[in-house]
Amino acid sequence: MSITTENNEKMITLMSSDGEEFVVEEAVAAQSQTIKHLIEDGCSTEGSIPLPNVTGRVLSEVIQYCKKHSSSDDKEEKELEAWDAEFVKAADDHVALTDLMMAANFLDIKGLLDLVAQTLANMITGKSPEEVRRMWNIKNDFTPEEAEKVRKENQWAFE
Amino acid sequence: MDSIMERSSSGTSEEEDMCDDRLSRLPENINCSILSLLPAETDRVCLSVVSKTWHKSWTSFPIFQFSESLMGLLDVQNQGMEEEDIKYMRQEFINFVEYSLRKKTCLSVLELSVSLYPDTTIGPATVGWIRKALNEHGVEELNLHIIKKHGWPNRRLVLPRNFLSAEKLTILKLAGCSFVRPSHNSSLSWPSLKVLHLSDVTLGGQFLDGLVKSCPLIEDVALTLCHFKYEELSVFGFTRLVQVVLCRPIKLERIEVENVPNLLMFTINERSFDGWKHVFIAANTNLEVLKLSSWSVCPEVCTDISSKFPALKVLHLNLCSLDRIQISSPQLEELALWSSTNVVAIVDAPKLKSFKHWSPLLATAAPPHVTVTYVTRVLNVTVQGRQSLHGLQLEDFQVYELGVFDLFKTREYLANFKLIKQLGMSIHDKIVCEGEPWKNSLELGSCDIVPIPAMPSIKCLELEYTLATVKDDANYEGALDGLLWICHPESVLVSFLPGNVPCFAILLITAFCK
Repeated sequence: MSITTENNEKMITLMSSDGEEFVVEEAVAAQSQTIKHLIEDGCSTEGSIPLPNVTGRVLSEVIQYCKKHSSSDDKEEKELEAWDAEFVKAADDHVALTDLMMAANFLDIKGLLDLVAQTLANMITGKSPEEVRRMWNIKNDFTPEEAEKVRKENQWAFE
Repeated sequence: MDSIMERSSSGTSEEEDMCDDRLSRLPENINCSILSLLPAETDRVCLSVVSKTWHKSWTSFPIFQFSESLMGLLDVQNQGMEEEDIKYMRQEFINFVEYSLRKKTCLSVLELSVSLYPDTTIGPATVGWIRKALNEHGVEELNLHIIKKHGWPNRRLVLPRNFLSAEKLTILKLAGCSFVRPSHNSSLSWPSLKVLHLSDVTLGGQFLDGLVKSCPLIEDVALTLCHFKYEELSVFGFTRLVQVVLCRPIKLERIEVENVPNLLMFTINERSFDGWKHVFIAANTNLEVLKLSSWSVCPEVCTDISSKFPALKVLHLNLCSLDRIQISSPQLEELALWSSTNVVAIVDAPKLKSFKHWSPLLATAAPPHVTVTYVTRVLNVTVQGRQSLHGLQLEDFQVYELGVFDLFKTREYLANFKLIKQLGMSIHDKIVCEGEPWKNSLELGSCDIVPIPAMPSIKCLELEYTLATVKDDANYEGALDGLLWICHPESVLVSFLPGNVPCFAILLITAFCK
């Protein structure tokens, strides 16, 4: 379904996995390489573009990011950086961040992917394995023998 | 959002934990990008023991960067640790590097920065793992830096001969290494190599000749503090070579560059002057940057520069043993000249933006028996352009180590350059009393004038006064008079080193009161 606004911007509709619909300018949505290719392949001409891997909550955040980044030009780089920092801060728990990461990966939005990956990396830096596990709810799936072996071999790095 | 937070904090059962372990369920490519963003290899290793997923991601992560200094191992001696503990830590580090290398299933970038301690050795095992990484994993970039520490015996990591063959190697940077048989090049084969940076490596005489055959794609060669076995180096027949930097080559006396059609930049850096050496460069239509400091060039190179190097933009030349030089180059933008004797330089470069001139101190070059009253170094430069002198767009003009009395001559000369935006001068005067040996020369002082705005409308004059002892201040009076003759600043900023006798300041005040 293609709608044209008064300033002649082509609009498209995105549908999240939980059925929520978002009407956005094509230029905004096309920041996602995945959507861009879908549009190019003519998938947007009828109905909305279904995004089965992205929930409405995450999609609204992604769209927020895309809107900001399509309206800014290079001159506002500093301001954009500050905005990015605030953006990831707002999603500053690991569940929201990993969801965002998954969505950015599926939608293929490089800027967002880099931003979230950097945020995750910053959170991991300097943490002990145990801290990382606790923080991200990661189950230690090594067997006791394997764990002992790995611990011994890496002892140096953790001293 | 709240409900999710609640769930993750209250989740106690194993199933719930698994459910929230989203980090481990990220696609492999994301894991890799997170790994690549971690600042140190230790962080990556740390993540690798968190769970099996991450262990797998780490083993297949293609970058391996280990730096001893980053891990603080170099500072342990200052932290008051026991000798035995330090030794243990070093060995553990090596073990750790070996273990990590062994685990890698894929490797394309390998960076290792490590010391050769007097009490421990990098085992042949480490070298073995590096070799394995090169041959089996097809490492594309290898950066091996053997750290030298002051006071330690001068040791190098000896690399086995079959190390010299690596099919996929594109970038090779070695520091503090040597090859088992440096003069033997039969096994040298780097068919993909484009960048070769060697520092503190002993090179056989035919090393570069060997490179032509074994590295057909080589583009960038930088040799720093390399020991050459022979005095002559011939850079010949490299069809793809773009850039050559030789930094303080040891033992090298003569360099010939010929048949390198794509060469854009050729630089020889020598920090101190220790006798003239010779370089010959054949005509080249692509050469843009030619920097030869304290190396003399064959006089033929100096003549007819415009037809030999029509694309030349940057030229640094030593005018040794020349008393006259004509530089005519239509594209030239930056010119730097060194001279130790009086030289007349006639420059025809309409696009010239920067001109610098240095005179090396003659202390080592002059025979001790020579009696000199005033050593002043004069460079008469005539800069010709399509426009008149006044129209020349010279933006940066620096003259170093002029004799104080040159200032009087320089004044009118400089006044011609009305568009100079920045002028730097360093004034040096050396006086040797008659009959006294050279080594007893009195260095009377130097004052650096750092950026002065456009002449002759200088508003602010910055003087940096750098001299430990002052023996005679009469010369400063001359220098100061000359300076104030050149310009009439509204403000003067003088900086002293601590402990200096501020006699210059007194002179300054006297001069202004005149």
